[in-house]
Amino acid sequence: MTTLSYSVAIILMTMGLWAMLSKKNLIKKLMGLAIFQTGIILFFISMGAKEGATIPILDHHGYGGIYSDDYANPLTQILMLTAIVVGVATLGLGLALARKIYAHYGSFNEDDILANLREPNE
Amino acid sequence: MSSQWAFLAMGIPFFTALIMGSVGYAAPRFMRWIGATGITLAVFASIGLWSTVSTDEYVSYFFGGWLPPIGIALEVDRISALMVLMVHGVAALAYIFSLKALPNELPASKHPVYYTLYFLLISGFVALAVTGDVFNVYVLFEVCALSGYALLAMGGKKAYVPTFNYVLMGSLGACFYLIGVGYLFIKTGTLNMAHLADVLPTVFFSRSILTAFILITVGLFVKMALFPFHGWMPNVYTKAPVSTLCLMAPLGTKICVYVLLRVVGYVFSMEYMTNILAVQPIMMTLATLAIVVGTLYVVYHRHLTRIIMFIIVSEIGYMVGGIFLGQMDSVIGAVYHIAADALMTVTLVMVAGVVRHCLGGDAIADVAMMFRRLPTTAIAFVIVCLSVIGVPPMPGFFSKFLLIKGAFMSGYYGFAVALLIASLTAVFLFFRFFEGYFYMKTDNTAPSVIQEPWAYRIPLVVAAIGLVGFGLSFSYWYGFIKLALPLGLA
Repeated sequence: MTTLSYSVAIILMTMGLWAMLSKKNLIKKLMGLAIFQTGIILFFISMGAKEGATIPILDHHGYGGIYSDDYANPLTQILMLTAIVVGVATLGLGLALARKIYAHYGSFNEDDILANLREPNE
Repeated sequence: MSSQWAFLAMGIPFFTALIMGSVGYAAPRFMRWIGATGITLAVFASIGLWSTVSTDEYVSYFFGGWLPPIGIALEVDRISALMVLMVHGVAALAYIFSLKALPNELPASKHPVYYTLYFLLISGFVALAVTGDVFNVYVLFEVCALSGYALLAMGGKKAYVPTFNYVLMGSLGACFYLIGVGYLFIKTGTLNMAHLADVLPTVFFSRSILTAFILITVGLFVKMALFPFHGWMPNVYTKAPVSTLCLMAPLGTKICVYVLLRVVGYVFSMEYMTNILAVQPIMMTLATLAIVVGTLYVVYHRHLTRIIMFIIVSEIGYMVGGIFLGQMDSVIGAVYHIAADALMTVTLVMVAGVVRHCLGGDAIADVAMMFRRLPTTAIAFVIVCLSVIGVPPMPGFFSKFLLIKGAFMSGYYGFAVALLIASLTAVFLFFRFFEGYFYMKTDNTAPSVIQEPWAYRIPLVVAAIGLVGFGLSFSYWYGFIKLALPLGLA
């Protein structure tokens, strides 16, 4: 079961990386970044997951003893909460920039933009 | 009291950013005073931190009183204190410079948000220097990077495309770092640097740790623009506003080198790097290549700003090489060079900015014109040139001396040769500017001398004096850094 989730994480990361590096469209590049980050999030969450464990919230303040085996590791989830926030901020900033670029060059395609970008003796 | 300095050095710019964001729009008149107060207090905090570690060696601050490894800690040793001093010193110079430079570049309506991001960036840099937690490093990378992207993109239309590429590359670097941290966490179950250093030796031969090392170093290399990964840096920096550049160019890449030292020297330990992994030859090749390639580009380009960017690329090679040489002297040289290079870069960038604003361009001919028309700037430029070349009383000489000594001691002669080539090229490069002055055809109308505004002159003079002072006080800094070095150095 764990192998499966790690495999999915790795596949997502490679997909995202490939999209970021090889796609010409700026929006697709940003989608690749988002997929890459999703892969990382899944990777961290799989780390903290346990067979048969539940979410790490103590519903009755631990009457009758708390067994760490019953709960997933909360630390990785908290780390990923931060990473999600960072990812959203990066994506928002990237989209804002892409919008500015589109307004100026009239295209999301990297080749068209580069063709417009060439300036004499820059 | 003493342990509060670590938080204050990071917290003061952060709260300045918050106040700036809320007050800036309501009362723009007070903005520059808020900034000036914030940066002055921050410089005081960094001096306080410095004097504390001079006596105590080590300062820790635990958030909420939770002790690590459960809580998050700020841990400041002498090297981090030097970094904090460097960040605040450079930021103070850059702030004074921006008072005059920014109105030339951005409409006043954007100043509040600009300065909010500006102080956020400063606090991110300081926090990177003082944090003691590997995951926090990732978050702070993104704090710096996100505010940095926005500040760089304010350079206008030309800056959008390079900044977009920087967003992708910067996020990629940070993500690689994060995956590496994940591998460390799987194997050790902790994120605190000191705790990791304790636990890691038991699992040194595990393949996960190897993967973690590779991912983390590659991520950091992308962030610091080491040679094969440097592509994003020159473009984005040359299109940015000069006031942003004063802050980003000296600190953005240097602080990543510091994080590399922290991670390689203190978390993984030098022993792991040299003996168990034996990556030293590869890393030294990378560093040597970075110096050589940066140097070649420096000769090729003809605009001062672009030349500065490739000087940075080759200087990154110096520092990475110094760290991976693993000799005591070379690591001291690398740390000393981080601070020295930050000071040199900020001076160079300010000179380029003054030339751009006062003479309308930064090609070699314009810069040569500076010797006739902007005497104060010219003096600062000559001083910083001497330091980049490595003339004795300047800091550039001492760091190069230590690095070359380390290279000879561990037998990487190629690195020593690359350093000397870089010095010679710097001589050649700067004499192109001097030559432009001495042999330039002049029409008989003597060009008038332009008085630089005070906001340009003060930081330039202070930076030039600071450079000389930093070089003259070398023996003090040598002893200061020596006590905080990682274990296991040859």
